Amino acid sequence: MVSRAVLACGIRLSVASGQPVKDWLDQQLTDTAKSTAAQKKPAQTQSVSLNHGSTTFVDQTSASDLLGAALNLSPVGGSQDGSGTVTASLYSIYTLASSQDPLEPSIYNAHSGMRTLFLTMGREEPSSSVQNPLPQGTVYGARWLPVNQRDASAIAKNPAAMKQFREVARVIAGATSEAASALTNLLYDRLPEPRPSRLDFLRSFRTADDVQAVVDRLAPADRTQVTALIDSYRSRIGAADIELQKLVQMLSRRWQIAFDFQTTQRSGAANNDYQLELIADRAVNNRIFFTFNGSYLYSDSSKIGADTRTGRGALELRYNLTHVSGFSLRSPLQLALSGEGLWRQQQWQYHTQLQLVIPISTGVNLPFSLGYGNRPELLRQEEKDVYGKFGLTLDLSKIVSAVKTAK
Amino acid sequence: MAKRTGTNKGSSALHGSKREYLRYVLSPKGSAANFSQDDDKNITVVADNDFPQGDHCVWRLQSAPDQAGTRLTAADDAGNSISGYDRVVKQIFIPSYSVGLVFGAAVGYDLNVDYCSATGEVIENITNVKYTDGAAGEHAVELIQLDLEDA
Repeated sequence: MVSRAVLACGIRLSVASGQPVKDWLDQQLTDTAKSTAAQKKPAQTQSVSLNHGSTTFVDQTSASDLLGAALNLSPVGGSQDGSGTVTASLYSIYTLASSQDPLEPSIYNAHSGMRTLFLTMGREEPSSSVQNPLPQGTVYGARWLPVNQRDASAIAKNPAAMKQFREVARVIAGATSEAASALTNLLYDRLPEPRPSRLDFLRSFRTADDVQAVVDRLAPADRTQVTALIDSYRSRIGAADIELQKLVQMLSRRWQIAFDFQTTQRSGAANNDYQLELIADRAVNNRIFFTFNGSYLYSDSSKIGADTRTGRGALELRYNLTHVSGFSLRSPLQLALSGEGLWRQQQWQYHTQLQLVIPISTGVNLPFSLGYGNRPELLRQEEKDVYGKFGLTLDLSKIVSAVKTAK
Repeated sequence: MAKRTGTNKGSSALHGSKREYLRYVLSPKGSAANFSQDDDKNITVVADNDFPQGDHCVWRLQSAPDQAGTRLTAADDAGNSISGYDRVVKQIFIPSYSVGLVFGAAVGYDLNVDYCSATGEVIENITNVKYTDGAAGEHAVELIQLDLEDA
């Protein structure tokens, strides 16, 4: 038997399983028992917020583990010049330099500390302001993630979580053993004499289809027994799956806190911008995610007395409009409402934004945003304006993982 | 999605009269293992908390003769009893032992099971499987069913 399909628990077999009885049991499971969580942790793939063309102005704590790219294709009604950034973890740079597979689990876990530091580089959108034109700047950034309660290392130090994982393992192991013994003893007892040894009988099954063929020959009363044992097996595996989903979702909702530094360097006499930022996020429940940014911006001008200093606070609530099965690496359709307050030159400016993130395919999303707030130009900050933007985000770690899975 | 490679024959002989045993070696990849081995009566043989320091979790499913059939116990690699598992099974019954693997703090597992004589000689390799790239929330099971009847 070569390369069977995907088993009920989602494990891809690249060689013979050698477990026809278990494979047969798995074939009896319904799709509802198949889902488990996979790589669902939210990661920022959109440009960091200091890039003026970014479709988001609230930064998330974690970027892609491997490499993420964000292209802001067109600010609606604004400049037609594109902008974008690439974010990479120190880990991805290390594995690239050492020619190691960054998704190999042993390497991935051995260097988890390297995934707490992320580096960003890119080009910002040129300012469309008539009064205060700015040349297109280069964006540099670094992010440190000192609190990451969603990492596997943190989970291993959580006795309650470890106990719950063990309980799930106990249920699926016990359910499988019980169903397998009930089935094979029934089938063996119905064999005509002379019967082979039990080992020869067990090894006479090459595939799940062989098991099904023997089950098909059972008398109706015996078939009823098989149906009952399958119902019990399906029920227990399904319940264990649900518990596992809840546990993984709970763990993936825990706090992450990051410190961020971003700068935009521009040519000539244009201002250079610097930003220090605290980012905290966690999930409120399985669908609602909360993010807070608190930051200080400094704009360094070559003109005497023209430097500006700005305090900034931003909040975002992100809601998953759709549910994506645990195995899918695709993002859900998301709606986000965010607000930003800026304290600049002794007065407050406010912006609010509604954003819709449409998943195109695995690791590829199309964010649309519609905002309302004070205009950024110095002479028109009292005015408020409506703007729209859309972009394209790529999460290369998910794309690579999807390609590897498809092979 | 976790990838499984290798083979599991899924069944083995085990003769209590000869005190044969199955030797399990489970090596988690990642921070820690999340696993449990349970029989067809839903009784746990061993679990990850029996191996607190384990880069490699090694145990035996030890057989011994008994008036009512075959006694099956859990032992460490030196043959000392661990976990308190103790069960007597009639030889006309096919018992099942499954190792449930959960990808929580681990992202991969290597599982090797050898059918061994009382002196430790490997009679047959039953299981040699490797799981890689496991994502949080996935799970897998490796099943071995036993023929306990003495020839």
